[in-house]
Amino acid sequence: MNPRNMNFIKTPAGHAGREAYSLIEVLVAGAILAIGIAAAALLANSMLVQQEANAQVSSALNLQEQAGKLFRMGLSTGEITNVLQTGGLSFSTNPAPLAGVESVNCVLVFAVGSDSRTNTNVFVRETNR
Amino acid sequence: MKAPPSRFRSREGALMVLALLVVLAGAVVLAGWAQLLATRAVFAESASSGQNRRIALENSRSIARGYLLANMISNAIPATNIITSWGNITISPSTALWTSSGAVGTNDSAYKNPFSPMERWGYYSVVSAILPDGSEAHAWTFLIRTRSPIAAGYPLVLHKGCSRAGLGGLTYSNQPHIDYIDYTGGRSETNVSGFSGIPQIPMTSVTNSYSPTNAYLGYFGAPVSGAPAGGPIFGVTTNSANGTITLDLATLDDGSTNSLVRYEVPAAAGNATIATLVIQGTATATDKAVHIVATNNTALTRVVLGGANQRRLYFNRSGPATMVLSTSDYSSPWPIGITLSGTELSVTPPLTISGGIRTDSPLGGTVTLTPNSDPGALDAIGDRIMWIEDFRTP
Repeated sequence: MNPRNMNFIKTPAGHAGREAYSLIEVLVAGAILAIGIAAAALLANSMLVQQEANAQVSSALNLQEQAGKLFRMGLSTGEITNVLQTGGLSFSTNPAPLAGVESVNCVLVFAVGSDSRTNTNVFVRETNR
Repeated sequence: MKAPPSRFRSREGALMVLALLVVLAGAVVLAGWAQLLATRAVFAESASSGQNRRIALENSRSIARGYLLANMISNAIPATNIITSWGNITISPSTALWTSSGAVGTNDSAYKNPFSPMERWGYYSVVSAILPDGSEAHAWTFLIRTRSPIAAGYPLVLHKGCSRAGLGGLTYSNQPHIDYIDYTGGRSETNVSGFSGIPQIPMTSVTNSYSPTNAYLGYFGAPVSGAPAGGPIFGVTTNSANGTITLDLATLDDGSTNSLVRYEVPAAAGNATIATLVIQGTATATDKAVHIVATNNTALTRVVLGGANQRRLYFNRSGPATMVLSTSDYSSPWPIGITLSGTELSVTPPLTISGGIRTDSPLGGTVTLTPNSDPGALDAIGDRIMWIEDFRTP
């Protein structure tokens, strides 16, 4: 074996007396690079999808939290639905935890991508407002 | 056989170092980008947890406020863990909520309301609580405040008419944004304040006087919880022929300083139905006060003011009626506070008072309201609004 083939650093082609990269080496390097690029693209795509889903979830949770604040301000459940202009909210009355307060169950159905998710929260407010 | 040294060797090394640096920088950027995306991926989950905790804390706060609203009028807050299924919301037990020396008649600059246009700040009581949010417990402080809006600098207060519901023997009025207590409820004679637990009129002693039986004499000061003592009031004459009661403000008490007379207008005297109340006299003692109450049990339709009174006077009338406020030899604006609940008032002839009016009913005629020289004059004897403020204990 030519000891020069054992050199880790190969000199670029064009220099007289130097070896060039072989076809196999270039193909392997190209394949590795293609795999890396493809993986990065897939990762980016999935992350963007996930990011969009997160934005939808955050928006929905924020909407439900605002519904809770409106409930504590004294609005009726119908008024809350009208104010927030969303069809995914529904309310049901809970038994009062104790005298002087009232409670409702708030269910929010919202879309995440092609799926549908449900988030449920309990809101409490003073009866004498 | 050793290869001869290349004359490009130093350039090749530099190029390689540069390439490695580029690769390193690219790897760092890629790793950061991936980390950012991963962080965004878990953000929604973290936000959901935070949202649930905020909602749980607000629920706990609402439960505690609702509990206090339903119980703060009573003498004591007996709760420890008021509701265990919500994570052990704890309200510190409080005995004699309104009758502790720290809650009644004590000015405490630590809780002074800086937005009040007047120099006094009414009464308050502090209740400590522990509110859970589903994950942690937060120390919370509730301030139950009460003061007369007239004394707070609002000489004319028009309340929206409302339905009333009894609560703890008192009449508790629910407004959209205001909760106030008026005089139409029951009264505990064992409590010097006139009401059970409300810092209405701090007095050192009081008695249900012997004559007349619907009058009480006491003295300003710290409230007492023991047996009342005192003497009868004077200067009350009844004309059964025309159903008129006359109160002489100059001779109403026993001559002591800082006296406070509470007089309840009777429905009848003998066979006569009381329809007219004359309040007259030249009383210059500004340290004294008179509190007159007419409930819906009476047929009182006319109140006449006469004289040059400077004694503080608060008049309460409740019940569906139309009442005329008139004068006879009236001079100098009297220091008067008036609260009307369900009673229409017509002031004729035109009248000037140094105080204010609270009403939830029509008000007619001409009345000129002027500020009292002592903004706190009516603070202790006026009926008052009550509200709750709360904050996270620092």
